[in-house]
Amino acid sequence: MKKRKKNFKNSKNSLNKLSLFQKSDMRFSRKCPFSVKDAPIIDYKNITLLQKYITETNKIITSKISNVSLGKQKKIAREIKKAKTLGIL
Amino acid sequence: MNFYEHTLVARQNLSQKDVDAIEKKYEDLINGNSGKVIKIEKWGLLNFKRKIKNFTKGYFLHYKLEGDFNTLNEIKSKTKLDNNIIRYLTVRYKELDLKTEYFSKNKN
Repeated sequence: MKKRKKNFKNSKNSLNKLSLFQKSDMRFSRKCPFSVKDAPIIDYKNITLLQKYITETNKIITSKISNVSLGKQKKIAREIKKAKTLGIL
Repeated sequence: MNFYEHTLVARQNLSQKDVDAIEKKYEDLINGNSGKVIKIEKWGLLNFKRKIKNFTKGYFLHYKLEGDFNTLNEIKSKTKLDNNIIRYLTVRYKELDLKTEYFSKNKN
């Protein structure tokens, strides 16, 4: 992984490719919204936050789509189930 | 001794006196059985997302307490006999945060 990161820095510009079929060096990925400083608290009382991670038919959205890290996704799923037992979500 | 959060959901067709009576009943129950109530939050009447026992709304009471497993067993045994309470939930915490209130707007 360390070697890859070094290559990013050297070739940031996508124009200096040799051919069109070469894979692009830049990776488009968002970071997890909960592993930042001053992140919002995941709790079963914090309904406005949990509603973002639920579909219209009350299903939990996968981490592939929502881009939440593995540990935080497990915590979200647990807190949503707690809120559902009380009938708030 | 551990910290817990305990929430009760009471029936919607109760009067204010009955809700206050329920609140006092469980406060005394916790304090009587080697426990200690730290804070009580009244969330008030809230809508359910779906029907629970043919009710669409419910009175929410939220306790923050400190106690043993003995106190929890006492609460659970009493709530199962109580007809006024639909649902309940207890969660253990290492530390309680007393500052943030998520349902304070609905109260007013």
